[in-house]
Amino acid sequence: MKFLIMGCGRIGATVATSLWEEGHQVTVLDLDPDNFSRLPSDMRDEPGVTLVGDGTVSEDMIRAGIHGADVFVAVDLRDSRNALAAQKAKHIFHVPRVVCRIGDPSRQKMYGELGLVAVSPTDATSQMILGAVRSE
Amino acid sequence: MYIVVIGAGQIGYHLTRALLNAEHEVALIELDSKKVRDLEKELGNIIIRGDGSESRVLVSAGVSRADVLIATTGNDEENLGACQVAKHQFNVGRTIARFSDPDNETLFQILGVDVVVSSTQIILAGIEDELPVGVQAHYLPIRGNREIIRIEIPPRSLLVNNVLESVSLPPDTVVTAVIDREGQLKSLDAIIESHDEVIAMTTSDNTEALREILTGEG
Repeated sequence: MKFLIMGCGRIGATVATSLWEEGHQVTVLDLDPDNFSRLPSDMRDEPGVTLVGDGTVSEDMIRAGIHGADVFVAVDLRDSRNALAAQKAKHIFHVPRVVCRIGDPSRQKMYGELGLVAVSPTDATSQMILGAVRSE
Repeated sequence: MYIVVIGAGQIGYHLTRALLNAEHEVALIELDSKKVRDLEKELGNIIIRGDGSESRVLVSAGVSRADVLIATTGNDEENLGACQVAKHQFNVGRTIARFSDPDNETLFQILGVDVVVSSTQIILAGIEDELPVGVQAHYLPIRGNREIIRIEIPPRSLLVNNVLESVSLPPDTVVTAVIDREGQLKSLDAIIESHDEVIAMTTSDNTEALREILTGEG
């Protein structure tokens, strides 16, 4: 499978590395090349794995191979960027599966209702912390 | 009307003032606290500091009773986010977004933003006024891949001295007005003269065909 991942922060890098280690074709897009240092060096050195570019801009999405992608993952820090990129991937480029990170729980619910797979780290992390606090 | 404006840049600020002058009720939302402090002296409590695509900020602006939300920031993603939250979480009847990247126009329309405005397009329309006759100016993109365009009839068009009914317009096309060179509105079945302006709504795919029909010399 071909995965296109926008954002090489901690979450993006972890997701990308796991998928790459499973043998999938992975391309990670980030505006800041320094962020690629989060990836293992042998992964980074593979041609086509990293690309400096803006995952919300059609031209860069095309350069990163969005036309052949099976899955698009938007895990930038900003909700609005993730929502724009994900909706572009879904409605303009018709990527079969689109997943995005939305920190604001009420927006996560809304985008879910609009047909995106929206994951909220806020909800997930809060639940884990509450679980840990209550088990004391 | 109650109008919520997102972004207190040049566009958002002047828009807010114009709306206030027209006696609308306005709330202006801006993320940058320095800008908010500067404008508070002039605008008072209608300016609210916060991220206009965040629900709780929109709640504090009373967005659920707003008639219109206008997102004017320089960030396409923030404008889209604000319009989607306003529409889907607060049932705002009409949302208007500014966009900068021309690629985003279609996406915004697909996603249900009611009016999408590009400053690039407005400037282009202004320049087109200075261009030779027969040039079409695109005024307003509308849902369903439609737009309102204006075409000036050149002197050698086959349509001159004929009525609009004598030509067959492309499908999905409605002529909404004909204006003569003095600026007077003409009846839609009046004889067309050179330099008349035809205002029509058509689909983006048909604009070129419509221009051919109205300006063609045969």
